Parts: sequence; structure tokens; C-alpha cells
Amino acid sequence: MKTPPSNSDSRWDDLVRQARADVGPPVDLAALLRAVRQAPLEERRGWFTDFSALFSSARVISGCLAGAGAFALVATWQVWDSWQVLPWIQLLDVATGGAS
Amino acid sequence: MKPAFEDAAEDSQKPVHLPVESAVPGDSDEEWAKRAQQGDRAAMAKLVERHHAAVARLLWRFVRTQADLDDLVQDTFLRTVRGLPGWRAEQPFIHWLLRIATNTGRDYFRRKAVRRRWMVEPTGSPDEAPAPEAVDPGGDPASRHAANEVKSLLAQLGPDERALLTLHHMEGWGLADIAAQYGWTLTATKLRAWRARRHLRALLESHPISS
Repeated sequence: MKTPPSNSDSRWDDLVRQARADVGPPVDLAALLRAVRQAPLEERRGWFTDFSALFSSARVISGCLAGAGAFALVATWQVWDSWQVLPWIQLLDVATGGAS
Repeated sequence: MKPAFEDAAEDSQKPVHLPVESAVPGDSDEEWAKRAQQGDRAAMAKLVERHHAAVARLLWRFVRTQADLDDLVQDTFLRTVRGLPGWRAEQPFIHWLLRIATNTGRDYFRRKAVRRRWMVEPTGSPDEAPAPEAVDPGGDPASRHAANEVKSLLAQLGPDERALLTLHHMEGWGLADIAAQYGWTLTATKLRAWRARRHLRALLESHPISS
């Protein structure tokens, strides 16, 4: 359900309608062109350059660290899982002749 | 009459007014942009000459002074130059350029908001006070006064809400266009618009417009 228009709504409408007619000052095109010409214009790189950028030194180091971390996590989890499953208590019992 | 800030979802199909594309073969924006991508500075200059007025017209809705306008237009084209290697021809150049311009405008609002938050500024900060240099003798003083009043009211909103309502009210853009410009979903944009209108309504009630 829509709220009925209030007095401030119609004044706002009028204000916006008038404001839309406002035209800004022209920009200094010469200064703008100078600034744009001074900016370094990079040529578009080919797919090979984009692909090699994936293996830049900073990315390789962080990628190796992330990989090593993930490997350590998975390895720890696997070892812990095996440790839980192995009947090591019984093996220890047999080895010590039931003394433990 | 339906209030302007009540429900604008139905006009979300309203097209964004774009400069007319050249019909001459080889003279399209995309051709010039491709040349600029290869490092052709003359092509980049051509694009600046062709579109600086449209960019300035849009960014004038975000600022109040000639100096700020010059800064934002320059910033927009410098961002365009930096981002040109990433532009793809499937996307119309002018859409891409205006997206950079609207983001530049929003960043300007964000900077203003941060400055206002961290600096103890008295009520009626330079952002909200009438700017003497904003009065252009060539323009219509009544329209300029109205525009300044609208900008002052919107300046009291958050930067995203301010950008949204600036584009919606001052440029007449639909919510779908605004969502596409800022990379928001339409639902999120509608929610933002609803919040922004609620804040605006509260502002209008506490600060009635001087007729």
C-alpha cells in the first residue's frame, strides 16, 4: 500500500524537476587531454603474459605455502584417522605379554 | 500524484541516456578503444574528446564545484586509461566508461563521508554549504539553487544511498540500471532504495524545503 503524497513530497518533486535542469560548467578539455596523455598507456597483454603472471614470484611463494599447509592438514588428519583405527592397544598387550 | 521517493521500481526499465554512437565504419568507440589498447595515444585522446561532456554532465550531479568536477572527470579518464587493457569489446565502451564514472562519483561520496566522520566539522560543512564558485553565470540560477538544495539534502545520507538517489532523482535512472552500474543485485538495490527513501523522508520532515 502506498502512502498518500504529503506536502513535502510535492515540494520535493518540484525541487528535483528544477534541479534536473541544472547544467554544469564545461570541463577544461585541454588540461584533461594533457593529464590523459601523461598517464602511462599499457598495451593489452596476450593470454601467454596473463598466464605467466599467474606464476609470478609472489604468487608462487604464497601458493607453495598454501599448498604445504593444506598437505600438512590432510596428512595429519589421515595419520590421526589411522591411529584411531589401528588396534595398537592389543598389539601392545601381545608384545608385553599382558603386563601393561 | 505519486511521491518521487515512494516506489520507483516500476520505472526501473527507463533507459540510461547515452551519447549517440557514430555510424561511420571504423569510427566506432570500440574501434578507437581497441587502438588505444594497442598503445595509440591519439585514439585515447579521441575517446576523451568524444565523451568528456557526457562524463562531466553525469559527474556534475555528484559535485558542487568546478574544481571537484574537473578532478572527478580527470580521475574517471585516468581510471579508464589504467583499466583499458582489461576492457573487452563485447561490452560497449560507453557503458564501461559510465560505469567507471559512477564508481568515481560514489568513491567521492565515500571520501566525503570518511572525512566528515573523522574530522570535527561544524554543521554546514563545505560539502553542504552553498559553494560560491558553483554559481555559473551562464546557467539558470533557479535550477542551480534547486540542484544545490537537493545535493545538500542527499549529502546527509550514507555514500551508497546518496549515490543511488543521485542517479535516480537527478539523472532519472531506473533501479535496474543503477544495480548494473554498481554490481548490486536488483533486490539489494530495491532494499537500499527503500532505506534511502525512508531516510530522505525523515530528512524532509525535519528540514522542510524552503519554497
